[in-house]
Amino acid sequence: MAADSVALHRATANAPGATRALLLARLRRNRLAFVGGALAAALIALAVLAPLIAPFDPNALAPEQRLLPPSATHLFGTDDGGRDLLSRVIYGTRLSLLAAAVVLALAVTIGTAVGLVAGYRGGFVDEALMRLTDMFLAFPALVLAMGVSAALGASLFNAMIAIAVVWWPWYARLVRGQTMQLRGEAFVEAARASGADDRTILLRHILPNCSTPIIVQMSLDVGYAMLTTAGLSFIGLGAQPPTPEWGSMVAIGKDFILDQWWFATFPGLAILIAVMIFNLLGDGLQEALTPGLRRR
Amino acid sequence: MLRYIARRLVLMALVILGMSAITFALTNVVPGNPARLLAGPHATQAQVDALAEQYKLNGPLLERYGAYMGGLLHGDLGMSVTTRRPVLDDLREFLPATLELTGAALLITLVVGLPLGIVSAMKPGRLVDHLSRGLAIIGVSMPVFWLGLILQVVFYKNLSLLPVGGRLDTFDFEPPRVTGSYLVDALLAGDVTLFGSALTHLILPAATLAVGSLAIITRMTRASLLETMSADFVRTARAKGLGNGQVMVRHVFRSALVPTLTVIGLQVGYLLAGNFLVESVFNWPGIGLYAVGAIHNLDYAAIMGVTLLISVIYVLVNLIVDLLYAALDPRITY
Repeated sequence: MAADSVALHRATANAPGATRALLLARLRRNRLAFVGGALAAALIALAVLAPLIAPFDPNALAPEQRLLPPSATHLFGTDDGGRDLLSRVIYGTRLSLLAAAVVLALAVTIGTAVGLVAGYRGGFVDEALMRLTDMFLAFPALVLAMGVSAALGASLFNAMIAIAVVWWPWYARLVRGQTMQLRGEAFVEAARASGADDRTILLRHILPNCSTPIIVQMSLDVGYAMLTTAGLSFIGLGAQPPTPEWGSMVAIGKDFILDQWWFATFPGLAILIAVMIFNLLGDGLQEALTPGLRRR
Repeated sequence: MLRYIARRLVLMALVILGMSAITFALTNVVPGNPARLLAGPHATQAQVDALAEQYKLNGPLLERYGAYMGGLLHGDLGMSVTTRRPVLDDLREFLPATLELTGAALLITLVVGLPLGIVSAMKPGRLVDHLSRGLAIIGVSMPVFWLGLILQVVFYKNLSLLPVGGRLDTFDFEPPRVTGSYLVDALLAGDVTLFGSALTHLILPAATLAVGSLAIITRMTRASLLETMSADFVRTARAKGLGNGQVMVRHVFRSALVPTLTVIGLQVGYLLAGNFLVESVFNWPGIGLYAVGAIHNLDYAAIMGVTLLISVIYVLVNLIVDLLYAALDPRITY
């Protein structure tokens, strides 16, 4: 096991293509990653197939069926507009996954670019960029995200941007560290000797070798991104009602919690389960792919 | 040591200066018009202009930032358009409630999390360990605002054990203000009933706020202990004949605490941020509730004030953590 992981570590640092089979084998052996992966796939399928699975239109108002408790027709009950909560929770999967995807895509793009440049150039550029990231990291992320999304105006899209704005520094740090290690490797020297310019070296030789830690970090962050988006929606800074977004549904259900418990309970439960699935997957991927590398 | 603290404080000032510039710039490119929002839909343009003038909402960005920072040096954080009072007075009024809640949550985190982590590390792979791992995964995945609501249903509505929100019952009078913490102030006033009331109101929000950090501390303590227990110096300590208790207390705990301490420092940040959500659920009159109100009213000065205050607290806590390292680990000197 230990020798295996050392070999894998060396292999991934040098030639990712050749070790793909080894990585897949390790992934298959890791029960956590496997279960997490299967559940995550099911969640994505639920989001994609929402129109086929949801029994009702998530936005169809039916005032006469207002605040009905869970029953055979409405498994999760109905909300204050008589809308079917099960359908709304199913559609909510789409927004939650979409938000996490957008947040991470933005954060990874910015963070990777900053990290590559800082780690490769070194010197003043590195110093300046790293002090900037320190500034962001010296701050509770949720509070800053709230400030940013308050400034941009309340909408789900702005909330995603706000979260990405506070999230990229983690990736910048991660990629910078990797780049600094790789900068002096023989294969980078060889590429340079054969006349490759900086851009080619960064994109063709260094970036692919940073991909494993980036992917692991992303899988660990999906859950946090979903939680943060839902949190912003809960205090009214993200998705606006009547959008079927989980955090926003819990926010409205909050006013009914003591008498109509189902209203806030099911959307919140959906958040918990979805986040848990991705945390399982993230933990599994981390165990399988990067022995000895831990942030949290 | 003193030089190190001085250097850190200077760095901290720079970080906060940078943060303030970023937040100020962001909160001032807002599309909305706070003066219009404040004046109401029926106000005349002249009334709106007068309000904009009064709350310093006009003028070029840099000029306003300069004026703001100038005021900051004199302890003037501007006027809140929500409460129509100086932001500094608002923060003074609301901060103690937040500190009381955060402190209680941190206490729960440590009192439950550390022993749970220790027990898991002592018996890895046993039932306790599996349970604590399960709890940890649920804890880090938990939307706190939702957990708060569920606890309200269970402990207020179904069991009628604990109050639903607020810091005191409707008919309770606030204790004479000394520290701002109702628990402490009630005790200082010698009012045991009031102390009980404040305590029962604190339990649910504090437990809610603590859950995420509790999970992380438990896992971190376990991992750190397991790593230390297999270290060479621990084997040496055992080899020279020390009993298990002595090895654990004198060698393992002390060394394993250092990484846990870092995480505790970081958790203070999460707890402070979590206040925004938990205070909204439990109607807890702290700076989180104040900030959420300010956000809805485009109250720049208040948002800036809360942001700055939280960053100062966070940076200070992490400085204290770094200083504690030196006390715990003889290899670390500053």
